[in-house]
Order: sequence, then structure tokens, then C-alpha cells
Amino acid sequence: MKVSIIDYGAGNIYSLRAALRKIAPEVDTAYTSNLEELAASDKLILPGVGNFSLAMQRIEALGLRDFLRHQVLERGQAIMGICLGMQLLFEEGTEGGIHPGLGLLPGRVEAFPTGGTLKVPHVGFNGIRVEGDSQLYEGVEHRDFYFIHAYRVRTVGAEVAAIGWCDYGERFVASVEHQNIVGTQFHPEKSQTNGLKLLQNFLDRIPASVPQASAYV
Amino acid sequence: MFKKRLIYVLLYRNGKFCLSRNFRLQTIGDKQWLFNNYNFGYVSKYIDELVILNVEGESVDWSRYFENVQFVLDNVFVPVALGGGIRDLETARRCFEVGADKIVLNTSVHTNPGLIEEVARVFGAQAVVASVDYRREDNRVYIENGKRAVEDQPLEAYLTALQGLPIGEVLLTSIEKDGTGFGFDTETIQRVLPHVQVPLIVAGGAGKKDHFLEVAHLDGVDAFCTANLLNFIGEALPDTRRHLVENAIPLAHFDL
Repeated sequence: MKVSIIDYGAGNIYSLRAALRKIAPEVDTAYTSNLEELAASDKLILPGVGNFSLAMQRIEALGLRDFLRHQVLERGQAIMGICLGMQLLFEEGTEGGIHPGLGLLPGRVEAFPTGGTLKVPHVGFNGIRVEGDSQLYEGVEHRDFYFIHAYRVRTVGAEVAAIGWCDYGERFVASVEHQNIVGTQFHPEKSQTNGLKLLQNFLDRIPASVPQASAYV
Repeated sequence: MFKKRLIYVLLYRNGKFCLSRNFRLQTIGDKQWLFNNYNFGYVSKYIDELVILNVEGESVDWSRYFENVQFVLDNVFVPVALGGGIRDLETARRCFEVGADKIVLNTSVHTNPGLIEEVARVFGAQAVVASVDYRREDNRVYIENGKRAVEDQPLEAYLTALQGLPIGEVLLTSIEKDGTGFGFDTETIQRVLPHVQVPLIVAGGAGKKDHFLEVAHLDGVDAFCTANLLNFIGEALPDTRRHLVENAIPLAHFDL
């Protein structure tokens, strides 16, 4: 199996690569923005920290937006977005104005309200409640994961297979699964054994499939 | 909803990991020792966060430090704070590049608060841990690995002044309790709590599981550390975690 982490200059992926090496030493992992290499991979991981619109600018500049839409929506390549990478799967972000995302899932990314009693960003381990038919959490008994984010998705605008809900003053989307498209707002590679199992499930249980049904736009 | 954290602090100097007692260091073993003999791969499954502090002082071989850090990070999958001896943005940036989620600043907090502003601007205030080492006998903060006292202000005033800086957390370490295993300086911790508005991590003195319980019960103490390679060996840290959970301390639960 070959897994490619998409390189668009989104920062630190050391732990993610280490986690993949740990759980699946036999898997060939690459960190690349080469479209041919990405297309030849069994699975893609879209990492990311930082600013939504800057990230999308880089993704556009590398020709990754149209490429990923084609690969994921038409060719059914499995993709997992992590943290900002999950946010980018959605239609639009609102950091510094409204900016289009990859549009693989319907929904928008907005800032946590500030000025209340809760600190923003939301940092630390928090629990998840999973709704729906999840492959990602199969066998993951304890569902505490490490978060660090100031923006969040509050609702997924259509039927998807499973949503992981987290509470931080309000309910927000901590993970989403729709056939070949999955995303986690939290960092599985920083979430102890819980996160390693979840990454393992992405490798083992999320198939390549052309997404059906009502999820996207 | 808010979980407290059990944190392990590794002290690094010159290619080796160390024990510290009252900030006097004793070399214990290298990275191979840490994983092969000490079994840190197992121990680390029971922690919420890892701090790897470089305690070399001013003449730091950063490449070697980062090499050791990455060896650890190949095997430990929790949020990580790196620091010790960071004096400029470039070094901070390298810490993030090798896998840090946060950096720890101590001497610079006092001598160059502008660095905190810079780091926070680039990486966010949540990525900055202000480390404060103090002595109870004179109620003063000490910088430069505990060697130099900040003369002009008592601990409370120092902590209060920190609130004006963009920091995510305070790591408060008792120099007198450090490495003793005699228990945390609970009295001082309680006294300074009103002066700390960000999450507080306490360190220095943990020797048995009830020491953790004592500080974990305090509102306002978000996290507690051990930095002693010999106080919590074998099953001691797993036992500590279970003990805290049994006593209703909200910790994350991990699949084992």
C-alpha cells in the first residue's frame, strides 16, 4: 500500500509520518505535491495547520484543487483531512473573508465565538460522541483526542455516514466520514493509542469508492 | 469536559537524559537506554503530554538535541513541548519544524519578552509555555537554569506581569522540591493560583501517586509533571494514572 501526505507547505508532519511508520511499517509513505505520485497512491492524507485562505492559495497554486476534486469525487481515491486539512474538505472557510475550500463536503468553517468564558483556541484532549455507521472508530474504545483549533465546522450540510461530535461550549464536528472521504478536526498522531488505532482504521477500513448519495455539492 | 494532564518532563544534556535534584544534574542514560532499558515507549502510553527540556545552558548543540528529540518522537504520540536555551525566533521555528506543538521559554521570558510576542505572532499564544522556576525561601524567580535570581520582584508579581504577555500556559517549578520526591510545594501553588490566568502546570517534588492527587484536586491546577527518571519506574506511572482516575480527576482515557 502507498499512502501520500499532501505537501503544500502546511507545516509540521513529523509526528504524522512517525505514526504511520509505527502502525504500518510496511506501508510506503510519501510526502509530496507531485500529482502523478499522488494519483498513484492508495490513500491521501491532507494535513494542515494555520490559515484557511493561505492554505487554499497554496493548494490552488500547486494545481491540487481540481486534481483532488477529480481524484476523490470521480476516481474515488480515499482521503483523510486532519485539523485544517479536514476544514479544507468543506465548501468554504471564513478566516479573513469568505474563501472557497475543496468542496468535497458541504459545510462551512467558522471561528469559535470569542469573548465568552471558554478560551479560544480550543486546546487539549476532549471526548467525542460518534453518530452513525463509523469505520474510523471501529475498535477504538476510548474516544478522547487532542485538539488545537480556533475554527470549527458546526454542521455537515447533508447525510454522511458518520459524524464525531465534540462539545466545547457548543457542539461541533470533530470528525466526518462519507465513504472515501474522512476528516478529523483533532490530531490522531498526537492522541496516544486512540489516535494510532484511528489512523490504522483509515488505512484498513476506508475503501476507495466513488462517493454516492447526498453528501456533496 | 476539561481534562487535566499528567506530563512527563525529560531533561536533556549533551546527548544524555538526566536526573535533576534542586537543579543539580546527574546523567542517567542516552536515548537507547531510555527506550531499551527504561522502557519509555511503555511509560509514555500513560502520559498526556511530553516536555523535552534542554538543560545544557548557553552552549547548546541544537542539531544533536533535535536528533534526540526526533528519536523520542518516533515512538511517542502526544503533544510535545520543546525548550530550554531558546533565545531567538529561528531556534523556536526549528523546534516547531522537528515536531514541537509548543515551546518552553524561561530565561527569555525575563530578558527578552519581545521573543514571546514574536513567537506568539507566528505560532499563536497557545504554543508558548512560560516556565517559571522559583525558590520558596526568598520567594524569588530564578532564571538561567536556576542560577540567577530576578531580584526586583517576588514570585506573585512576576506571575502577574506574565499576564500581559501572549502565553498559553505557565510551567511553575519549585527548585527546592525539584527531584526530591518529597511532594509538590502545594502551599506556594495555592498561594499563587489567583495570579495565574492561563492554564497552570506544576512541577517539582512528585515522588508518589498521592503527591499528584494532592495538586490534581486543586482548581486552577491544569497539569502536573514528573521529571524524575527514577521515581516512577515500571508500573508506577500507570498506577498513578489509574489512581488519579479512581479519585475522580478528569483525565483523558486511552486505549491500551
